Amino acid sequence: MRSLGIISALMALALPQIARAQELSAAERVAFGRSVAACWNVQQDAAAVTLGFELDRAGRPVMQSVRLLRSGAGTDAAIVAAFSAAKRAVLRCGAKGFDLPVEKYQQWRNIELTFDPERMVLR
Amino acid sequence: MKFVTMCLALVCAFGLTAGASAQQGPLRITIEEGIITPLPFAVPTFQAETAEAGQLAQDLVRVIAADLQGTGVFREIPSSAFIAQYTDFNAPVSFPDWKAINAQALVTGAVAVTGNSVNVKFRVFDVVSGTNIGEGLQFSGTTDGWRRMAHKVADEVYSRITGEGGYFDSRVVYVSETGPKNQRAKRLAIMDYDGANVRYLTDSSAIVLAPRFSPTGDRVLYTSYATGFPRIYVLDIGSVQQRVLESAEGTMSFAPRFSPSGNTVVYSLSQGGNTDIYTMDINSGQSVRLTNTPSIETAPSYSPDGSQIVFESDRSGSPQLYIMSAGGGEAKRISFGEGRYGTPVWSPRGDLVAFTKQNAGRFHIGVMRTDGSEERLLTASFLDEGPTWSPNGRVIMFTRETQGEGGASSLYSVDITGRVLQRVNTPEGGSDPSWSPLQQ
Repeated sequence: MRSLGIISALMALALPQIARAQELSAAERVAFGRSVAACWNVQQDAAAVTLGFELDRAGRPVMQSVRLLRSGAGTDAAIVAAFSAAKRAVLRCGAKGFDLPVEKYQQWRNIELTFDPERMVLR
Repeated sequence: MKFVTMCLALVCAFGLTAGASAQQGPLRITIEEGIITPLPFAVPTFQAETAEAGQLAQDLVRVIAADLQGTGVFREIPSSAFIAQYTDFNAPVSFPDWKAINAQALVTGAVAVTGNSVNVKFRVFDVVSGTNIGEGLQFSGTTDGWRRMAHKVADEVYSRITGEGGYFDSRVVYVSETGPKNQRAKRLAIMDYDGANVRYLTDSSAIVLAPRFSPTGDRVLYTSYATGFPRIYVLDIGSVQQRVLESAEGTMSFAPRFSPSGNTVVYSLSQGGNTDIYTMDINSGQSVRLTNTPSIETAPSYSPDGSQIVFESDRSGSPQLYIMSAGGGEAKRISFGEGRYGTPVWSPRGDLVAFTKQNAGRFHIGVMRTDGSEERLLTASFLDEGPTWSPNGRVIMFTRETQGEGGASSLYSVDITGRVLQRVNTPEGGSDPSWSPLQQ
């Protein structure tokens, strides 16, 4: 009975190891973020926006899936402009497919990207 | 003891599984570092819908492109790089051809000229997503006003892509200068923001200084030495009629600026060797003293909401910037860096104060937050002074004077990042610019 309990505990410990193996590593997340940022042309005092979109297995954004999920403070025009700039960044840098591990596709199929320019303002 | 170990293991396992389970949702990443590079755009010559429109179609596009390129926010792709042949405003856009030359925005248009009338219509496209940015729009006017129409198109394009108001359909009043440095003739002039369409508002019989637009852009305040002493005048731009704003005998009044309502003028008045700040109701002529110190208080400028005034004072021993209530009262110093600060101007957005700074033998145009934080110097030269804000608070125009006996004054503009510094072409020398609001 006692040994059965120990095996259960070990199995429970092993499960998250499998789940973690499917996750994107921190390095992969950072690299992906940087690859989008390279195409994100920031306007002064732009509004923060969060985009949702889907990637195909080749890492290319599905254009029809790109949508605005949330926005920070700003006028309607400022939010539309910030959304357009963020969308351009995703579509331009993803045109040939983002470099993401295909075996972890389910982890990066659906993306929520927040573009927050606050740290860039007035530099 | 073993029981405790097993429990801890299970708790940990649950926590990690829950964490892994949360990863089944979308991948969430925040990006805080982008790039600030000009956005490449293409603006092919507009379609000429009538035979007379051919030259105008080319001229309009040149002005639109120059407006956008001059912001530093956009970079024009030369027509020599175009793959697509643009000839029909209503034909579908071949986005792959524009993508191939890395255009991210595309402006297409058509022009029709009938007699003295011009009709300009245009569309803006996001090339990357292959979609329109807003609806198509058209402007009508006369052939004489074609530059304004080009500026209005450029303002609309700028606004649609950046989400901010533009500043191209605006004017600048300034002091036109001719002659040698020790005998310079000065007269008021008005021009488009880009230096086109210069018109003189006064002759050079008296020294004139510091013209300042009214909030509606139809009047100008300025200081004239026509009587031998500085006095403030208000000039109607349409009729070029002017009148003096009366002040008490034996006083000198200068450095005027309108309140945001346009009904009040704030200015400096010097009496008995002391200079303080006053306001005057422009209709009744009734004045109110706002400061009362033995130091020199000058160069007042209202906040956009009219509730506060930023000004220059040497009450601490050297010229510094202060803010007080529009009704006067205790002032709070906001400049604390090394050097001397002067000519503060409140941004139309309300977030920044532009100023002139003199330090270590150099002059600078700079900006700071209204609490004095985040001071940044945008320019440096032998003599830069007298900033004025563009209507959207993104660009500052100022005077730059070169060194030596042959030194001359010119107008320059710089954006608030300090990256885009440009000389404004005027037919003669220029100083003391004041930027109008966008024209109605």
